[in-house]
Amino acid sequence: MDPYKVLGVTPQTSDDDVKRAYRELARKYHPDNYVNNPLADLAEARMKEINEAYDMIMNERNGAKKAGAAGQQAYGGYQQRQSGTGIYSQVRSAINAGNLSMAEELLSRSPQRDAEWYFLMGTVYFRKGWYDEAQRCYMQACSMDPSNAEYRSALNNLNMGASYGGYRPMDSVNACDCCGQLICLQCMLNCCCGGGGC
Amino acid sequence: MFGFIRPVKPELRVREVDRFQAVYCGLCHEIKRRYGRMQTWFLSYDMTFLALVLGAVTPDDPGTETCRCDASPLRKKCVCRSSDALAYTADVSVLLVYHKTRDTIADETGVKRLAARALLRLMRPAYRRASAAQPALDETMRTCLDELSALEQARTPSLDRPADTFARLLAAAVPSCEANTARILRQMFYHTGRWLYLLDACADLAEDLASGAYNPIALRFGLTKPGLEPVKEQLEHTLERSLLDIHTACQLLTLYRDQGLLKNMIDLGLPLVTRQVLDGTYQSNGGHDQHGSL
Repeated sequence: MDPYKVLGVTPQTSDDDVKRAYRELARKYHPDNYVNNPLADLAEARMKEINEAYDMIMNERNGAKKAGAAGQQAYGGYQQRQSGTGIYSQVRSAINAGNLSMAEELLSRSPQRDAEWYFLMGTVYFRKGWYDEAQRCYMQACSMDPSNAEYRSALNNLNMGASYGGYRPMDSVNACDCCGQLICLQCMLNCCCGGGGC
Repeated sequence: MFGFIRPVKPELRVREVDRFQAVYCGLCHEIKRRYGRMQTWFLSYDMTFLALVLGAVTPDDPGTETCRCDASPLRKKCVCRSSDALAYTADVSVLLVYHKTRDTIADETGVKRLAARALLRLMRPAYRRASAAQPALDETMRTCLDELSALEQARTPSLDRPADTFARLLAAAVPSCEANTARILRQMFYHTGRWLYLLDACADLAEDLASGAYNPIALRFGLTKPGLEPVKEQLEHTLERSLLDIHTACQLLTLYRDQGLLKNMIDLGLPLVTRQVLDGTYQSNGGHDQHGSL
């Protein structure tokens, strides 16, 4: 592995710029952007490669001094917290193993429709990319058990999207519009004040 | 298809505009070479996007040549040379158009149905060749669209159930390539398909309500009047999630060329069209009516 190639820099690049390139890439491939995403493992591998490349470059440059790359957190995305009844723990392990069709099958066979059922069904839908169905289920789970933090955080997670990477497709132009307006305003002020001899 | 996937021209570099044009024309020539002139009438921007993505993940660049065509008989245009990616996209295009027309016959009545019947008959020879070239894809398209019509007939009040059938159809359009690349492309195409289907349903809401045709948006939210205003936020949110998945998948791909153009289409073009459709300001010709222009 050529660490410079991984970070898209050259051996002549300054430490600050290497750091900047590293941060940019780490922001892009951060596990938070791939929660419940079927490609999470690929993003994790890329993140590992970036961390290693950064460590290699910094170690090489600083001699033995250890470079402080961002600590890699283990993101499974989905943690097992509640054990619940037998079938639900089976569903949870099926989801964790990525076996969504089995999880769905188990859920459809379960006679009861309680808050946890809706939560788990919502998670299956979330993993499948069925976001509207996922939201419906999560909302149902939250209304049946409003005090449950796990359900609430799942709903928040779905609604937030991956704001960590800064990619908010529907906001982008609105934000630009706002900037544009500010720039226009600034120009007008400059013109006015300049003309007025302030 | 729908023509929803297009770049935002003012944000493109001049060479990216030329490149888009060259791939569009290259695909048109490829379709004409393989399937005859008639099939080129159905060329869409969506298929150009497919050709761009598949071309970008292939290490070797086929390059360009200049030639004339029906739309530009006097001036020679810069055209992308034939490649595996273009040939494959041509197959997908012919198959999709054929199955879409089949779908129209099932859904429509009267003159439209008759026209679709006639068209289907004319398209059959090209379809047979495309089906022989991509038998598995043809089969998947057929099953997915059959599943979709069953859901439509049952008037399923869900967004994701019908969208899933079309999304799987598009995900099946990933050619055989390196395992991880194929995985990423499948995820990208799945959500492109989901987004296309749902956005098309948004765009057709008024028409479907008037004719009583199946519309998942109307049934899911219990809409009886045209106008997406009451449910705009929810739709925006669910479509945004798919756009996010397309974006996160695409940044895992190793792209050998056209990074800027694809980034423009995914990060600017798709959100812009989404916003326009939800606002009701979308124009299918993009406000321009020149052939092959943006």
